Amino acid sequence: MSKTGRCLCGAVSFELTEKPKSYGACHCGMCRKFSGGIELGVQVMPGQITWSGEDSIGTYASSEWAERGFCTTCGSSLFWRLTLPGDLQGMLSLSAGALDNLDGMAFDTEVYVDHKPANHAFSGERRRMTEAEVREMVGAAPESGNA
Amino acid sequence: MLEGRCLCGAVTAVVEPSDGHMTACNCENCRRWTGGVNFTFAVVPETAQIEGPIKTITPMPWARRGFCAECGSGIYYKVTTEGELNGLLKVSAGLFNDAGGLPLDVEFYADERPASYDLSKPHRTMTRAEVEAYFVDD
Repeated sequence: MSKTGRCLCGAVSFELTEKPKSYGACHCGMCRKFSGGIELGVQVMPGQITWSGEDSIGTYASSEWAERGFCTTCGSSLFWRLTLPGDLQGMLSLSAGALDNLDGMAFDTEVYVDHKPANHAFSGERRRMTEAEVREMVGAAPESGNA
Repeated sequence: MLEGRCLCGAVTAVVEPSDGHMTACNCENCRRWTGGVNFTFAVVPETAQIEGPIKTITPMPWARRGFCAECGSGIYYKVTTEGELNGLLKVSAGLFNDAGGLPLDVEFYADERPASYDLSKPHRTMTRAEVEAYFVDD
């Protein structure tokens, strides 16, 4: 577990207020394109992260309610961020791979499992949710596309 | 030929897979770059059409990476050292439908994989020492 992390080149770094205990994987097509492989994410609430090198963070609005953040120097995938106004605005799914150390963390959720390509899978048991189940949980419309 | 694109669509890739399989990598370099687990497959460099606003970095002595300057999607990994593997071009599987559909054949840096995840076998695994002996031509 680690409160600190950075992109590959170090232009962007961060510190969390608490050590994250778990992470999840998203198999949706957008996360697969953004990461190139499998996106692993840690939920970080607004105010729980302090960035250094923010000038090097590039963002791309990947939907009407979220954006992706990456290092403009090295291209590291840094986060998915909720942009929709409301209490949770600014909530992140921070790339777990950016953390300095993943030791001791639990891998507890996989989402968009119905979008996962058939050529790979994680072994072991954990909560697995389809797109429809995720949408039902967050109260999103069923046909409005990926995040 | 397989057709893929980055998240924003500014980078497009039309490629011909060359060895028929996909590789996973658990190294810190790939982990920080992708944010998770990296999947790539090798393509024929001469026929690869990879176009768009690509920015490159050289994060290791033997290879260069390219990413979309508009959205940050990881696009490719290319071996730049002299030797047999010079010019080897591997593209990010996530750019393609169904991750390119090639079977996962080998997992690199298996000795550096975070203990909390494991990819279902069967596939071969290689340690850091084995991977670096393969890529770095002494």
